Amino acid sequence: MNKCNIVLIEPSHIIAEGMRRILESVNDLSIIHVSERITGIDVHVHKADVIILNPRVVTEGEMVSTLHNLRKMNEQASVIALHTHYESTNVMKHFEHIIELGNDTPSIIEKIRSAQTTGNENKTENDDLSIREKEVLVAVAKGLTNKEIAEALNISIHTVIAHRKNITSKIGIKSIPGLTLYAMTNGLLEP
Amino acid sequence: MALFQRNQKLADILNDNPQLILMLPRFDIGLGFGEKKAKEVCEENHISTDLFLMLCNVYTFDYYLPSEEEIRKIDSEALMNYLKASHDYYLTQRLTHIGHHLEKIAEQAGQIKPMLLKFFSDYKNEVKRHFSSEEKTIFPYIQSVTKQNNNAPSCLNNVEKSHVNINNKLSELTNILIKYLSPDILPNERISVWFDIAQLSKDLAKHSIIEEKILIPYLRILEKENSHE
Repeated sequence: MNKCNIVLIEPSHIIAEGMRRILESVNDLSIIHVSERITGIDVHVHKADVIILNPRVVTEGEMVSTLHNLRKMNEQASVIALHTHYESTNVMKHFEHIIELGNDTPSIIEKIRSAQTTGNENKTENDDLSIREKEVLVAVAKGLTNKEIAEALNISIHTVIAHRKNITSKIGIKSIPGLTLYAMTNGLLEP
Repeated sequence: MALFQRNQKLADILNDNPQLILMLPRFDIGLGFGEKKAKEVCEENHISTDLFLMLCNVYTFDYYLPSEEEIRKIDSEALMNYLKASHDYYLTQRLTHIGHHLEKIAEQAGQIKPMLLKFFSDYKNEVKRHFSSEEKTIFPYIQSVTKQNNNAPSCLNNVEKSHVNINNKLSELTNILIKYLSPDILPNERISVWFDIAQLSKDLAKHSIIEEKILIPYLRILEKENSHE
């Protein structure tokens, strides 16, 4: 895997330093810039593969335009939310990948890897569902709620919602009966 | 291609966009109109030529929407009859036809059969509920607003959302039939029903535009005028 350049936007010095320690423990991850705010980072964003953004630095109303601008600056980069304080579902729903304050080092790294491979560049190349997405799909088809799925798979509700979004964008099916049919025709679920 | 005009022959209009043949039964226009112009056929059938051409143009030209002035002058009862006739056509003809195809496909789909049939019957029921709710709330509302009755509460929200839902489910059905069912299950039947669904989906999309961009703006104009009096 190529070196992964990371831009971190995190207002808390303690958290930013902690993230730096964690990410620098891995050879091919490299933090190229840390910023306390969303402004004045364009030149670094251009070079980034992954942008880790604490949603706190942006107001709820500006979230959509901020993400849009980041994507416009660098279409290939994936954006990961660094979720340290309570944020409404309205904010978190915009993120496919979320790092939680309680995550341990391996799972943070796994999330960066998965963001890196599902970056916009690769999205069209591989539309097969990941193992995790298949697990979520089967759970949805069985009629579990997002909360139940989160508990069963030991992930946050935001992550469940992100997986469901990815599933829909990959296979073009959103409704529960439609997902159930998909699961059956693909042998993921016994009829 | 320029917008259709009242002095054009109906046959020429249909030649330019064969899809428009679907307009005729909805306006109760019979076939065999020979060389008559659009306005002649409309007058003979006591239909507003303006409305007929407006809808033909909306169906044919994606960029075209009537101006506020044109919307204000609409014959709302004729529009309501047209929409009602469209609803009947979708339910009793198109969806029934697609349902027959699907039954044949489901027959070969083994254990998936019940789920496939359920998906379609749920969809059909959702469409039915949506149409009947429009007919029970919006259509009577048209009559009360045109009679300058301000007491009726506005009921124009949620229409768009419901339309999006109905068209999304149809595209899910196509995805399942074409992308995900096993290749050996009645391929010809599936290709044939694919055309039916694609046609219906296009028709429904234009139908939604007529309701969202013509009917609802028309009612909003009347609501505003009523509130000023």
